[in-house]
Amino acid sequence: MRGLLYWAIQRKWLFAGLLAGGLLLLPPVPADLTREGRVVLVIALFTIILFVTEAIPLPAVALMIPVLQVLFGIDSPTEVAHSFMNDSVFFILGSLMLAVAIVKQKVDRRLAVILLRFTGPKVNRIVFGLIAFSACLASLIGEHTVAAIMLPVVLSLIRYSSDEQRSSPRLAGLLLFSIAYSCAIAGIGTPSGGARNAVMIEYWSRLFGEHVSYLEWIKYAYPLVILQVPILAIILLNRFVPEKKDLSTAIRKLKTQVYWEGRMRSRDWLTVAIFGATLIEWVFFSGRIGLGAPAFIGVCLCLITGLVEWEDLQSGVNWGVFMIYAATISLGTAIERTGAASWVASHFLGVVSSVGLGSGPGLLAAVAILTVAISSFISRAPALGILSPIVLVMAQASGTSVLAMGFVTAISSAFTYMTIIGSPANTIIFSSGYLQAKDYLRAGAWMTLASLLILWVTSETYWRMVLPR
Amino acid sequence: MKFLMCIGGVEPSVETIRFGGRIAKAFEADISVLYVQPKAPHAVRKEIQLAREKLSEWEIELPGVRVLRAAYRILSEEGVLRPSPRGEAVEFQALKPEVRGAYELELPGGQGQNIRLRIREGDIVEEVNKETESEENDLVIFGASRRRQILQKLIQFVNCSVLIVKNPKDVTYELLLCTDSSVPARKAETFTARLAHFLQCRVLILSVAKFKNREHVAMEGAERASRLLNKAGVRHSVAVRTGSVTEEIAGAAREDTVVIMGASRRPEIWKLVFGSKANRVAERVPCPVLFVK
Repeated sequence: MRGLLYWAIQRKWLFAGLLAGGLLLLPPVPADLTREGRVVLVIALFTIILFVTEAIPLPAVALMIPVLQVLFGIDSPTEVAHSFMNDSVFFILGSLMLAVAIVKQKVDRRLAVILLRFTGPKVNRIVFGLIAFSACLASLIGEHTVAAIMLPVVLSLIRYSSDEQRSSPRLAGLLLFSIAYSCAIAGIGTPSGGARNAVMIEYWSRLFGEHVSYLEWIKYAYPLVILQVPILAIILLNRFVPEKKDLSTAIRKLKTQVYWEGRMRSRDWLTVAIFGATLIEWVFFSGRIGLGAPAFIGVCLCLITGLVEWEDLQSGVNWGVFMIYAATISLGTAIERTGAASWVASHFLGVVSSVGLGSGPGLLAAVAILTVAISSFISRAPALGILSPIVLVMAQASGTSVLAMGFVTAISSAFTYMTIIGSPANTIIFSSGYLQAKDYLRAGAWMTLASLLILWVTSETYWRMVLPR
Repeated sequence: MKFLMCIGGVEPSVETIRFGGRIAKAFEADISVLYVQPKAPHAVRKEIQLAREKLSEWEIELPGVRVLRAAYRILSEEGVLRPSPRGEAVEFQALKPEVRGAYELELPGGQGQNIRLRIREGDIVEEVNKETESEENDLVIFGASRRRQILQKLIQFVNCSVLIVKNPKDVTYELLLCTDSSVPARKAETFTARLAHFLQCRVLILSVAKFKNREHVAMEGAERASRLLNKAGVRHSVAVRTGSVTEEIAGAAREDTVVIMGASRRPEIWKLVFGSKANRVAERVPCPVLFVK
């Protein structure tokens, strides 16, 4: 009895979600909303409650989404299954697998050697080098992988720069946030930088017939990465003034630790070649063969050449995240198809129009702020999966560019600097034990403001010139 | 016997570990020191695991090891750990990953018992219960949490006897045995007899009748406890009072007292909604409290 009661207490939000969902299904359906639309919105609310509170494992929530769609008659089992799998989901899975293959090669020590060649012992140079280096990598292979790879490099620097742990808290904050925030700003640069980018590409294609290739994404989004790199360095160096300006001793010790790795081995070069080939396929052929196929070709080559074993992929890939993306794309599609997106969009537009933000730049700014707020507390996959169809429909209804709205939503979801759970990189650096929650506000608030401003200016200048009307 | 000492936070409570170490030493009990850290969100658990693997490859300590290191040092100072041939406590070795669901370091104790330092991740009650199930612990020792809700969860939902180390002092303690005619109270009496025997301390038996006409029942309970302690050769005195149980216990408890009481018999749902005597006592008294289950 005691165990059962404790189990129930731990899952109180599951019961609260069920109760809220049940109550919302009782009143008559609003005249301007279909029955299916209402049910889909209730499922969305229920899943959001579970995503925020983690009352049950997130992959279980992902599995519940198709089950609920089938049980409530939103669509046939076959159609629901179809909505689960698409090129973007393949791309996400392939990218996760490629990241595992790259990590398996234990390139982190070699990356540290390359990084240290370019940075001297001065802290500001190290910070700039860390940011630029991590940003370059994170825009290609995913921010969580880069954060995990770079964490030991930075922790070694912190450890070697002081005899006692925690004796240089500002230096620790500076170096750790350099990794996490550079991963965040770079994840928006290419479709492979973050799975949310692939989700947006899928929605553009599925809902509006707009096809954005890998290269086009880079053309529109990468300038934001380049603009944010120096700004991030300046903000961090001002918010975390380091106790030491020179890390000669730490660099010397770290070099001694990593230099024994020696030259690149043949399998390292093979990994680089396979990833390079995948990148070329994404950039030049994604318009014809999609994004998923090149990723899978890369994974197959890694398996065939023995760079990675299938067991490594089984244990290294976060299958739960893959399931969550697949499920939320399915739910997002249902939200649009049942008219629920239009219903929410029209009501939201009614509210923002009353304060003069009903279209164009004002609407883009409102959506960017809303996305940052939501993504800071919910995993980005469900946040984007559910929010995107609504904001895209809203853009269409208000005469705003659907592409601009999609980019604003996907990109601003990366500006989750202020919370520990805002991004995988934020959580990874927090796990080092050097940071407190308030540290995230210290630099994150300024970085959020700067990033939102850069995004808004870019959308009103650069995108107006280059985005198709 | 097997004791589990649970520590948390960035800085461990030195006094809590010292207090728990002394009790474990007196009993010559096997002792596990468990550090429970919050679990990462599901969406990034793999990535956190990857980061930890990378830290291990670089020989950087896992988070939580620093807290265990401090616990290890305190237990060494208390003489709970066996000294090396050079006369020093054994060196701190790397934690072995994933031993029965936790990271573990096993060390020999001063009296030949086992000392385990372990790290688990998740909800504190669930992880402590997993640990007590796999290790069959007799007692779980916690520092007093300032958060009322956590204290209530620990007292009510941990599956074995719980010692809340509140306001520990470097003094000779007197045990305050709170008894009545219930089965849990009998368990508390037996535990008190053993504890007093090992720690060589005095016991005050306190039996409280809620109403005047129930005084004879309280007296019977006190006499039964007294007979048991006499048999164990423990010095003790008896007090029978009338009034609120919580008030009387709080009135009798001093800073150099360890309050010992049996678990409440009320239904679990009642205790959850309205709280239990155990919770109220733990909040009111200025000293450690032991709940025997």
